[in-house]
Amino acid sequence: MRTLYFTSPHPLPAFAESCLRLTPKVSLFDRHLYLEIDGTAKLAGGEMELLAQAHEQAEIFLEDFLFTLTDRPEWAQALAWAGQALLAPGESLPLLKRLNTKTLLLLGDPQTLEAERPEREKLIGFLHKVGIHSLGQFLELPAASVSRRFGKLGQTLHDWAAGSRPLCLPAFIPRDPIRGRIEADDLCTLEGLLFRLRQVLVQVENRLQGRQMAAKSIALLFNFEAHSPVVKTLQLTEGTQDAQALLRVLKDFLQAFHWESPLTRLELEVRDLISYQPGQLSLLDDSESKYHDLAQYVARLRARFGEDAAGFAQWQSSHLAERSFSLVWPPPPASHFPSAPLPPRPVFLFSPPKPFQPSPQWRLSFSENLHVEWWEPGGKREYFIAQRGGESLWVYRDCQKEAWFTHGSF
Amino acid sequence: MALVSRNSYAFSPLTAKGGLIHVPSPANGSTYTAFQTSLRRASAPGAYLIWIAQGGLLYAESLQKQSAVPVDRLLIVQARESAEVWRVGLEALQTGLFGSVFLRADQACAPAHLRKLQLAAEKMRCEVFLLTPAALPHWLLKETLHPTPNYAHPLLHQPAPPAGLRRELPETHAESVPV
Repeated sequence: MRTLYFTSPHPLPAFAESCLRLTPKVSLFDRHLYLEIDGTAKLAGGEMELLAQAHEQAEIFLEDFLFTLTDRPEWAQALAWAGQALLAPGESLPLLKRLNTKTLLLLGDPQTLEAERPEREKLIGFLHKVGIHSLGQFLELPAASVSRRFGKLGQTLHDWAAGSRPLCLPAFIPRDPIRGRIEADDLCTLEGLLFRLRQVLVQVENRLQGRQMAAKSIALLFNFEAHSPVVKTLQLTEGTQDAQALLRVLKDFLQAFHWESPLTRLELEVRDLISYQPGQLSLLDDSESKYHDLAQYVARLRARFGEDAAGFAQWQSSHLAERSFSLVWPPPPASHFPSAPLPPRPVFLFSPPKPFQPSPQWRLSFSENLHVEWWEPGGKREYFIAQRGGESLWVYRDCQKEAWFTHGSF
Repeated sequence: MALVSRNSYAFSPLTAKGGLIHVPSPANGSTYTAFQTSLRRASAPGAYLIWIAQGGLLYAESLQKQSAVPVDRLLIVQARESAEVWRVGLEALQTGLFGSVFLRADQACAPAHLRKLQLAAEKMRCEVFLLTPAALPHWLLKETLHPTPNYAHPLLHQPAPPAGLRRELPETHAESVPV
């Protein structure tokens, strides 16, 4: 049972989560992480390739760490503290035999090591008294006599050292929300913030890959020096794991967001997670990848200009022109607009409507009367088509405000 | 009256290699005319189109009913100012996702930016229609399309509404409003 073991003084859950993309058999106990790689080493291109990937991920999440690749999980801690990183199949036991009997403190089930420590220390002292100083000497003792001489714990440790006792470790299941934090006290430019944000997003990408999930919305908590914190939620057009894509969207979002007080800390949390299902790409038909790229581009535009300022038109039930459609993603089907006849209406709507000054130069012809909803300010609108030379405008008179506005152009 | 049909998105050899096409249009009006004129020249059947304008949005329902614009393939973007229209236009071109790009801006951009647009349009083999009243340097343009009266809004040529619906405009409405 080839095992890759990591230990670090830093918290390991985020790293453990990212390791789920290398193997589903991940176990985590406090500062000790075990990856069983028998089943997935070939898939990754061999043990060394998988180790390289795990090492690369460890560098993303951890500042310092120890690791070892060994034959059995119960030997991993002992061999790691002995400074042995890479052990080919079959090399672990001979090396273990050369270690001091004090190593027995680290052999076995990581869940019971701490509880058994006092008893183990006593046993190690006894072994020294009887002249057993190395694990090799301990293992040379006949298994049948170990129980008589050293009791039940002696027998258990002998089994662990010999690798004859099966060890079943519980699987790690990620439950914590995916969060990141950037200390921004010393940052004075957006570029600096984006640089740090990139590092956090790479961690987010790895964690999402571990969970086989994609981010659908991200909440950003801005902590300011002189203001109360501000929470902004960024909706993505489609779920993504890609750190670069997220960074591009966040860049557009942050460029459009202005704050007066210095930013002290930015916290990020992935709110909505959806199952990540990569499509089957075709060599000849690039429509799917184009659609995916378009989704990312629309997400960036919506982050920059607002969700109601970019997208594909979708019909909404309203008699008011400005509310009869909204801009959405994904594109709705083509034939979704009602086919009821409309009075002449323009193809371009000014948002907000511009002031209009009627004069004899403009030829006005009545078009329609519309009432705004009763709960909205404003009242009846009398619409006219104003024509002058080649220009045609859709104008209205707000009966409540007694003012004229240009609402659109033909 | 010349309505644009879906068949009119036929391949046009004049714009096959992409480039900038200026469609002079008044700042306040004739969007339909200019847009229809542009659409007649758009030569990318099935491709996504992008419309970027400042100060407003295309009225999709009206578009869907009055012309053959494929609303489900038309990405609509409302920018806050002219500079953003030009900037997003260049960005949209560089993505290579769109068969035609329509930019409606009240003010011209810097010639250097227009040059970038021109190069990107030629590189991506994409037609960029510039619907702007501003004068643009002609040496960067592939062509200038002048909207013709034939493409005027079809509903403006409809017969007058029935007598019951017709309403006379009060004289006061036609007078100038004192400022």
